Amino acid sequence: MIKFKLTFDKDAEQDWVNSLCQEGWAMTGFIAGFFTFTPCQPGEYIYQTDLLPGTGLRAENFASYTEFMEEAGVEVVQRWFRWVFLRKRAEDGPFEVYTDVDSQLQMYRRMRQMFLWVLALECLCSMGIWPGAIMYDSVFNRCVAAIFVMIVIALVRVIWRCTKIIQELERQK
Amino acid sequence: MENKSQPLTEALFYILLAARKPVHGYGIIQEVDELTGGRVHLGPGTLYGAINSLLDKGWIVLYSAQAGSRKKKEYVITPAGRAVFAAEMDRLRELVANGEKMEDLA
Repeated sequence: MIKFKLTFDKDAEQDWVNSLCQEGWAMTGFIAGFFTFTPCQPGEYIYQTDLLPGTGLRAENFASYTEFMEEAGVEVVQRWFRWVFLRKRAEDGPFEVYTDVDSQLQMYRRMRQMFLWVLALECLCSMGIWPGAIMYDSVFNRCVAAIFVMIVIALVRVIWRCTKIIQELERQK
Repeated sequence: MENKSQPLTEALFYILLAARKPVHGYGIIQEVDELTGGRVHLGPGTLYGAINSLLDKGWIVLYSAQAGSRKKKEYVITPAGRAVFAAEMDRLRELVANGEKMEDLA
């Protein structure tokens, strides 16, 4: 089964993948919003998403990360840029990638920084679109401009959400 | 430069403790679970970040056993790590000693 879902919200995506697993669909692959699923026992796995350490879209040391996770009994299902999907069999007990406030804070700071990079890149790339969209009465140009605006809004929303979570975690420290 | 008198997080404290002898990542998770009766459970992401941070600080190092004997990476505490751990133990002893004063008036 292939499903399409485009979200920048790591936690919502993780909940969605886990809810499908409860229905008997195990996620096996991901690329640019397209997820592949194969049948499984309902609730067979617990999925977690993670963001690899790195800068911008570039991840550092994926090989050492994968080796570490596999040694810890965690399956690395899929990696896409810095985005990683992990899973463990539910019968092996609870599975949470980050279990203390410090590491959760680091992860959300990493995520916010990455989306700020993406937003900066997005704004830079969109500069060529505005003259066309404003000066020529072309439906195509305006559609492209609208898509860029929607992506910017989605990015700003996720950066805002990261900031709120970071503030909440800092209060808990 | 890290301030050595800064309290260690529970994760760092227990990782340093587990690394008193060469230990691999999953071994750390299991030992901390056992020592704390499951109260402190280290998620793999938490452990991965903490180990890299301890390696950067030079408080633990990669322990290379006999080449080719085992593939799993093992870590072991360094003298600098032991010094930090000892300083933390002094701080905790002081806390407990002072904390016991609470009972003195009872």
